[in-house]
Amino acid sequence: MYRVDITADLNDEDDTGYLWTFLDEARDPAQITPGALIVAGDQDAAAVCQVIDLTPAGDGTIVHLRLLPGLVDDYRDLVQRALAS
Amino acid sequence: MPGERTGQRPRLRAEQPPAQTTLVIRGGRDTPDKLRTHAQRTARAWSLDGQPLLGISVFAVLDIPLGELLSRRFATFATIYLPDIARLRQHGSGPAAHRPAPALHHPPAPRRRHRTRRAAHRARPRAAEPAVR
Repeated sequence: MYRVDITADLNDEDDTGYLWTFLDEARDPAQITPGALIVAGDQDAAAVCQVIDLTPAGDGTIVHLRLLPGLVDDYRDLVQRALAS
Repeated sequence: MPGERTGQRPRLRAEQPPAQTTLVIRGGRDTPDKLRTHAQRTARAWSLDGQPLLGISVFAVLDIPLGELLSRRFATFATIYLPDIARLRQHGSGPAAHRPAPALHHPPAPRRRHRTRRAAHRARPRAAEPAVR
């Protein structure tokens, strides 16, 4: 089970080719800034993403996300290797 | 600052996809509550003919082998749904085809919303191939 930074449907892509969701679905909207690495999705399916941009749309602000390759677990392993003394 | 919903009419294709041969792909695991949330999110952002558009995103394979798409784009998902167009139409869903991810959409009638959720929920689940994970 994952604890994501922002809830998103990882199937959602718009004509930019990026994932999208609304900023108000973030646990901490202040973390959602262009270039930031975050975890998006839900408790069952999550992925590491990079924030591309924030755009006013509909009744809020849409966040575009680049889906990074690999699983969240892969990144955990990567960080553990990198920080091992 | 809020903006306008993005109208989807210009993005719709005129032709209908072949019913039996066109697979659509959606990563899950989906539940009725999740699908309701996703459809409402779409309606916040997208419109069709001036009305909020309830929709759920799916992929259709156009120019990439299915296996490659599953291993590259769907590795994150534990469950992958692979219904065909005919199966979705049985439940009242219609594809609003545009690249890269077609959306399934309905007129905003409560009964049809319910059908949308059930259609996707009943879609045949398949575990991701071991090679993917």
